[in-house]
Amino acid sequence: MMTIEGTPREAVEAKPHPRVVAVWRISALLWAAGFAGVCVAATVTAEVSALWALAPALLAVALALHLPGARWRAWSYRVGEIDLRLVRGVLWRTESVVPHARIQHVDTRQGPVERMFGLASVVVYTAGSVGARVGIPGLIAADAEALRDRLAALSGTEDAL
Amino acid sequence: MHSDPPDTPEAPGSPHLPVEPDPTVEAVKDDAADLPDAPITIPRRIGDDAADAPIAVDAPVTAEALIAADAPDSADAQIAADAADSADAQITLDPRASADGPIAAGAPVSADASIAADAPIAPDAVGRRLHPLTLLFSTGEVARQLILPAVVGGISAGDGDVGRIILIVVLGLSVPAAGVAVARYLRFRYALAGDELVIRSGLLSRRHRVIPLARVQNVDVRQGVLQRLLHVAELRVETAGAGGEAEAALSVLGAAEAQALRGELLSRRRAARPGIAAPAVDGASEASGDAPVDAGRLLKKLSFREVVLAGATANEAGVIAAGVAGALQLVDDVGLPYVRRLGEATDWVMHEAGVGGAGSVVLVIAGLGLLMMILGWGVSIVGAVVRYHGFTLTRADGELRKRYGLLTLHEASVPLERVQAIRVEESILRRPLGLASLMIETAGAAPGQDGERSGGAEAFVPLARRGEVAALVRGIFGDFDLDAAPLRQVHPRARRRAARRWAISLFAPAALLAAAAVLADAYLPLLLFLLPILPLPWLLARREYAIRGYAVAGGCVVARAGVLGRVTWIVPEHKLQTLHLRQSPMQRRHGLASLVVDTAAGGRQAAIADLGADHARELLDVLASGIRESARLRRRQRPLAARTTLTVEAEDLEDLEDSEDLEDWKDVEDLEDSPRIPPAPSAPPA
Repeated sequence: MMTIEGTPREAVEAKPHPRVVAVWRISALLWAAGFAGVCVAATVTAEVSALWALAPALLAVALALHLPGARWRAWSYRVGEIDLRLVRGVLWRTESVVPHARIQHVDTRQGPVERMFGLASVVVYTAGSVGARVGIPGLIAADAEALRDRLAALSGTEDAL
Repeated sequence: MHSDPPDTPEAPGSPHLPVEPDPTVEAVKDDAADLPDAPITIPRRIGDDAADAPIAVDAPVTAEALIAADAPDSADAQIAADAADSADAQITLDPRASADGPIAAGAPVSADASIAADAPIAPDAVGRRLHPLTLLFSTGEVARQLILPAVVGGISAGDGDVGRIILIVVLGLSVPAAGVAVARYLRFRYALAGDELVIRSGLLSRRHRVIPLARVQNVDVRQGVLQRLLHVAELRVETAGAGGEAEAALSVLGAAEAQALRGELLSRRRAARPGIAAPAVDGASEASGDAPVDAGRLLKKLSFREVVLAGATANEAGVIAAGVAGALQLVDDVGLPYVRRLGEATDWVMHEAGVGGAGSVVLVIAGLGLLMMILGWGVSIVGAVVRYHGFTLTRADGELRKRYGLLTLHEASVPLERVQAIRVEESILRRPLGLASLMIETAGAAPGQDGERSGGAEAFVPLARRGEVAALVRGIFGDFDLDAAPLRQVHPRARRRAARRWAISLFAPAALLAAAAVLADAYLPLLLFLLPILPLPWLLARREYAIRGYAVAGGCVVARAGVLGRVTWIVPEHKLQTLHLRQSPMQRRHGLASLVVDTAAGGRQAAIADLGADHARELLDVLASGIRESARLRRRQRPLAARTTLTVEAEDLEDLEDSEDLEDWKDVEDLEDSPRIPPAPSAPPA
């Protein structure tokens, strides 16, 4: 990321905890398993060889194993003094700027798999339309809470419509 | 504060029937209010001689004793009300009664008025009723739902017992239903108490709703045809809360009272929101006392001709139909044989194509379709006239107000600070005529749209000439001058990207069609019809690139796009919520990126597609620091305690403007017809 005038030095780029890759892999594998199941069911009802289901199922599993790593590599965020910046996306890349002044409220979230790995996400809400919800995944649970409180404090009390 | 009389229990029976004025009532009233002697059977106005507006009596000869009283002196009102009550007379409000109340002109003020109360009122004891004609509308609704179908059903069932039974049952049901309507009317009270609108309603499940005026977003006054004839109106109050339903619907009030209450609501809302700056330039002097509608600066008025034009250009199909019809008329003048020959030719083509010879049938169907389209066109014009007749848009008291409608009069107001963005749409039909329509994107529900929230699909200004657009935008966004914000071109590689995309989306289906034709063994020379699409991707891309433009200037982000028609977004920088830089794999390969500027507008985002990636990132930073800047200015200007919707004054915008280098920008009216502005220096052509 480029440096921005007025941004303090300590606002360094951060990445989600590497353990999040495992979290993503597990949930992706669950999806892949479901997809494989559907494929098998389709071949059974169509009364063709189950081998037809093999290719898409394998592809799904391969993607589920590969993509989380790429996704992690693409992810970075930075909590600056004036805004929160996120870079994400493997194929379609998105850089987002969420000014602290625009934050409406902040959540922390923890899914079941995340809990197993002691991770949590922070979700930032703005009054915007499509980009109204922005999440930072893969934070150590305690860090997530600290970040949530920090962002909430930075957001100020303005009604940012 | 004037304490209000306790709920005056209504006389049993049908209290709203006109009652012969009882002489005792007259006497007590006159005593109580210290009025000059005057026979009550003559309509009269008394407020004139007492500036404090004690009690105004306006009693039409019809023996309906109408009392309209605003009593700062509570005792008087109390007595008047009590006396009238004890004498079994009817106290009601006359909307046309008094122009002398401490409230706005023409506001009717009832004996239990609380509009002018400064202190909060004990909620149970107070409140004003709706206009008595509410009963007409609510029972009318009952009649519409029950009685009319019953009568129709009964009649259509003939003489038989069935019809009679239906009739009796439904009529039997309608009596309690009407009773409920009456009881609801009696129960319903509203009051403007301090900074709150209080509404008490409900028979079995009672509701007590308090709407802080600072949260009020919209106050609409609506009048249907019948309502207009009867001088009553419906007032709707909306907050930012979810749901299309108005948070408060006062249906119906006297027309003048509705206007006065609206003015009062709006002025109190302003008072309740210290953060809102006094409305700039216009309307600042307009306090609650003046007529709330016609004050302010007129931004746009549609003439009848323009309304017709708006309808005529509203949808493409109609105009095309009219054009084709004109062409056919020409053909008809030239001679029917040609048409017949056309039919034969069509037959031949169809036959060759293996569809079977039915060219004349095709012609007939085409003719019918054409007729429908022309009819649709007519409907569209008539619809526009009915809907937009007499359209005016004014800016006053820090809000935009529009009034329109031939039969149903619509009045809507949008607080200026709620406007998130303006979209100028020039459709394929309107553009060649130099016409456009303006949409405004607001936070929350779109104003003036009866419940339908199709993301602001209705034009805010249905028709404007291109020359007027800049003035209109200035009228809405204060100092921003659209004409002084020359558009820059996006990166030249955008054109090649557009051409590739068009080629894919046009050639892929064409290839499929050709493959299908070959497989189906069709008449292959027909495929020659596909040849004209060959240069299309290039032409379309060229055009798309010419239309695309953007500017970050004057405190606003301007983004224009389109192929045949075009859409121009104007987003004030201080309304920006989040910013996003997006890159598809293809864009990444070509060093392009799209900048998405997100506001609190519902659902739609403005975006500048295909900037040079580095330049896009620069813009992102400029805009991000602009958001911080505007937030800081705002914080400095207003007390933190007032957590309300914000406005940013013009100075803020100027501050933000400094960040942009305007040097090498040329003023261009229309990019396509003008010399090119070089794209941003940071994004050199490939």
